[in-house]
Amino acid sequence: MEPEPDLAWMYRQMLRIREFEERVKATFTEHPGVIRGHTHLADGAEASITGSLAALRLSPGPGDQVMATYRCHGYPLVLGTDPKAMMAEIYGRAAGLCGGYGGSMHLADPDRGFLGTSGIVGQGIPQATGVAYAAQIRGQGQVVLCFFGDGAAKQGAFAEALNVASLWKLPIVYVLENNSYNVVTRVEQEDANAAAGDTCSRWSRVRCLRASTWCRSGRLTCAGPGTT
Amino acid sequence: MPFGQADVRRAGDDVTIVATGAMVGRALAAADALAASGVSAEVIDPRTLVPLDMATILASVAKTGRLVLVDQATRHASASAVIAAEVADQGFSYLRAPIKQVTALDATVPYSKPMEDYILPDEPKILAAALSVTGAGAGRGEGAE
Repeated sequence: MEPEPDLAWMYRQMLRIREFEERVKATFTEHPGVIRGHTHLADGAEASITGSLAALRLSPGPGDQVMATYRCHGYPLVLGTDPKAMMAEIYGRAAGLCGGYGGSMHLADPDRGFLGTSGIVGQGIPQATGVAYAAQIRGQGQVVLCFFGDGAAKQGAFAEALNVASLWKLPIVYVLENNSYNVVTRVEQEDANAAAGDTCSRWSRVRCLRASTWCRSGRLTCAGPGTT
Repeated sequence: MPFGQADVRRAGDDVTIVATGAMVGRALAAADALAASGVSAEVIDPRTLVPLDMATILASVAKTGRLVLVDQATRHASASAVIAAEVADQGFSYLRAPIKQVTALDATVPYSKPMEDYILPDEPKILAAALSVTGAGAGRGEGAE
């Protein structure tokens, strides 16, 4: 039987993500230069992040790992990373999560399975696949969750990664966070399948949760293109 | 802009400073500071690396006898390392002091501003390298390391 999701916990996590990012956004606009370069917010993705990671929480495995999209603040918040350390990192402080080396776009918390991020759209897909390969070699039952958006799925490496993951039966769940926009371009304009009428269903937190939980319960025999 | 033709941005007699890209401005600022210390620096911007105008660089080193290279890249496999090797190969007899390279440290560029400044070449580092081969600090080990 599918375990019951803790909806109150999930709501709390979504709220924490939004509040955290509202603070980042306010600092970015009110105090130019304090947050250097640029920052990527994830308004509207709170549910897909929380729902997917709730699956890890429901059936935690040994050393499961998560690769984020380039809109990366939400994932470590849900995984339990200290928000103060995250904010200090975004400010480039020595007390930051990565000692000021990473900033907003390169948050990493390996102790909690948060592999790290990049500002490059879709870059994490082949890397997460490599991490899953390492997990398979270690043979300790680790699972990798790889997040990316509908725009990132247009990266050539996406098809290559899914192909090899399926062939080698790697312990990885690819989570496509389809928000219907490739930055500012509608999915119908950037996705051939969507343009042909085969519209990807929009995510919901419960659907994400079920897909991830299902993969977990099958110990990832289902990992492969089209199953998540 | 002509390919393979370096631009001598500032003429000088005591030391040749070859700087690339964004480092040209910092090298010129350092040359101003050197002038205040009585050191006349020639600043060369190669403008293109392939082809590389070695003739202009060698002619300058033949005149000054000293070479400081400024490159924003990390030192390993940098343009600066290539130019240093070419001058050592083709202009060794011109040199009156070791070739000095002022490059980024061999590290990833950090996000934090003070740490980024720490690893990148700046005016004081160029100044120290030039002074280490021109006399004011020469022989006292005040290189740009």
